[in-house]
Amino acid sequence: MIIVGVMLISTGVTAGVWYYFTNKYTNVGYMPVQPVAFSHAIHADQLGVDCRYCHNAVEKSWYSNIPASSVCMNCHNQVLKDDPKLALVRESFQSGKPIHWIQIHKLPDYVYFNHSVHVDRGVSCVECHGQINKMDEVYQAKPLSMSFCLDCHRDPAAHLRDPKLITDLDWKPASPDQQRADGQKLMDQWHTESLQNCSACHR
Amino acid sequence: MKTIPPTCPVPDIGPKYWRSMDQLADTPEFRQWAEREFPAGASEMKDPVTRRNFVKLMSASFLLAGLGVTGCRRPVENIYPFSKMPEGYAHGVAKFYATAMPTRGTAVPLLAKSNDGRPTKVEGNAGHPDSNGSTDRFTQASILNLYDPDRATRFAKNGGNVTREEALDFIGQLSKTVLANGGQGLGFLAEQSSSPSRKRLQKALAEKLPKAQWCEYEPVDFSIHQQAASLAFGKPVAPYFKIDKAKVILSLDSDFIGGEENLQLNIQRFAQGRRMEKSTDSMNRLYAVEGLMTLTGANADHRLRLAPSAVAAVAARLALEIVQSDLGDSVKTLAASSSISANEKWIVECAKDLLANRGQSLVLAGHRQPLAVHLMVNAINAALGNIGTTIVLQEAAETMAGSITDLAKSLNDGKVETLIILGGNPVYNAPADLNWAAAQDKAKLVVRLGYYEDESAPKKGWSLPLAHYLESWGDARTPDGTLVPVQPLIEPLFGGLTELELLSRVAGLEITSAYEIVRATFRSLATSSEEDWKKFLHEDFSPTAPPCLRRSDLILRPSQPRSLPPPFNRLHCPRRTILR
Repeated sequence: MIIVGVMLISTGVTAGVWYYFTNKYTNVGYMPVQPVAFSHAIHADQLGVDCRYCHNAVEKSWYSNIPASSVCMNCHNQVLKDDPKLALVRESFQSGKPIHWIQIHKLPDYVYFNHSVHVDRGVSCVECHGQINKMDEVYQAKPLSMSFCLDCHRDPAAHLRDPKLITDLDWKPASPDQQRADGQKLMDQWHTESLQNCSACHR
Repeated sequence: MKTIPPTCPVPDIGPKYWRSMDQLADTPEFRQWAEREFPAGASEMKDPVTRRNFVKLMSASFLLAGLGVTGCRRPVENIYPFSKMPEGYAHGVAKFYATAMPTRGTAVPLLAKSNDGRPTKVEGNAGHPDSNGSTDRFTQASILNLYDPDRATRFAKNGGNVTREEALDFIGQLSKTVLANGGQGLGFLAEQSSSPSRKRLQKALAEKLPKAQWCEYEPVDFSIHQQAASLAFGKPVAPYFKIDKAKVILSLDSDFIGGEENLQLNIQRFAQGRRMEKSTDSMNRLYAVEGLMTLTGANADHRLRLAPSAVAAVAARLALEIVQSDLGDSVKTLAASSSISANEKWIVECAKDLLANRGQSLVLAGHRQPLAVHLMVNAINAALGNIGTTIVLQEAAETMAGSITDLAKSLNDGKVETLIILGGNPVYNAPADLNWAAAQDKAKLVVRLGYYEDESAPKKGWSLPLAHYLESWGDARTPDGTLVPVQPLIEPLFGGLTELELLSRVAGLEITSAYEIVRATFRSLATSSEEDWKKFLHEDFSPTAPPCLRRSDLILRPSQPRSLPPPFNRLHCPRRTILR
């Protein structure tokens, strides 16, 4: 009896940890309320603003920047210039104080991740961030766990696309076979390696 | 639970070792101590409320607290973007600026790396015509000076804090006082500098304050090279060594790849002469005579270990072999000195090698050697035909500065009442004979611009923090005479002043911003075009600026060292107790 009981409990605990202690359970769907109700769906999808208009350093830096208030004001000094929802942006632009955005996508400090390397070599925003262009409020769509990274690193051909389509988050390959063939072609062209050694990310 | 380790068995025969005097004496206290595992506080183990139990309980409590409440919640983290985007800025992408590190007599042209507005690394500027991207260890370490926690961080009067504005007001008043009496009783003690802007301000000061005394002091002084060359060639010249052009190099106590000026160039050029790319290439040969263990000696093909005091005799003996004619008696006597008689063969062979490579050889004397050695070396190099090939003589300006000895005398005589110290640390490193600390205290007012609040910071007087070169606007000249800008990468961390700012304020000039001063100097030396100025800052050197130390194509004939200047005219080398 005791042995069976111990076995059941340990199985239960293991299963619980297995499921509940993962990024998939703890992080996916994290959707904090942001200080400004900015809708990606309106800007990126309806209006067709390219991701890189605001996140302009994504092709140059490891870090994809959050746009400065002055970038918002480029349009909003003409459009909706008295909208109460944008009060905070106008205030920030005038006072020089930053808007306190809440960070959603976060990697641990022991992981090296470089946006520019991925974006410049055919990994679309959608691969890690999901369909941001359909989100009114941004939430974490993918687990961003180590296995998530490795899924792609082990088989880049299934995910790479033409750099022209990087910010087209609605784009779908014609067929899985087509994707594989095109991805392989890009890998050959760029000499992309399937980096799986520890020090590729844990530097 | 507790196991008492067995006491070390003492052998019956053989030597008996002991670990303390108590053990040797074998006192009863020692016996009792040796039997206990924990000499003091061991009884604590039986007490329930102890440090160990406390830590045990508390760690369990923290673990539970962590699991239950905070452990599973994700902390809210903010991102603070800019309010207004700085132009051309991308977070995470380093920027590089061309600047230069001023050294004693010259400067090292640099490319400084800046991450998010913080300078993080300096490397040589490969675009500079006389640099090829090299630096030395002092340059590499200079970035750490910027973040040195011991830096002077405040303006102080008599040891108490004052604001920057109060200090600047005081300098303004001081300027009015000294301008009114033509600089009577005013003394400056500065470090050496190649900055044309400082030279310009110094001239302005000399015009406005003709009675003021300007002195320069360096604890490690390389100016003897220029001094000797100027004396030998009869006009102010500075030697510029092209070590890569030399096939045979002789160093007379000159650590030119470890401890002389322009290390970054010397190291690279020496290595250049040893690089072999084809099987027909030949290597340079280095002879070193020295009393210390130096990098140069370690790299030498032939090293002669000799007391520094005997180096003069080696130079004289070489002069006998190489210059031959027209030598004074003092040189001949020195060459016959007994201190080198055992090394006769080494010196003669070395001289033969030098003679076989006329025009492709180089003899260098170290800065620690007296003027006489430098004069003999100049004569040897001229006799070998090295002037114009491996040594280029540049026209130099005569120094307008007095020495620290003059200033100490004036202070002791009460002639200098207001002393302005620019950088340096004379109380620590002035010659001990001068008793500089006492001399400095004799001044009624001491104003000190210093990088540290060190020994020289006046207890009674004003202490001003000096800006790092990565925080200042300035200019300098590289060894070949090219004008280079010193550009700031960051605002002064502690509101520090530059020399230029302080001097212009003391002189009561209208323009007191270092940027404007440097800009004006560039205008007067080169062009007034805005485009040229931008290019100057971007490229880190000005091809249009005529260097005042122009390369002199003229090959001057040196005067032979007929008689040696003191102390060598008496032919008594100072005896030093250095191992031979």
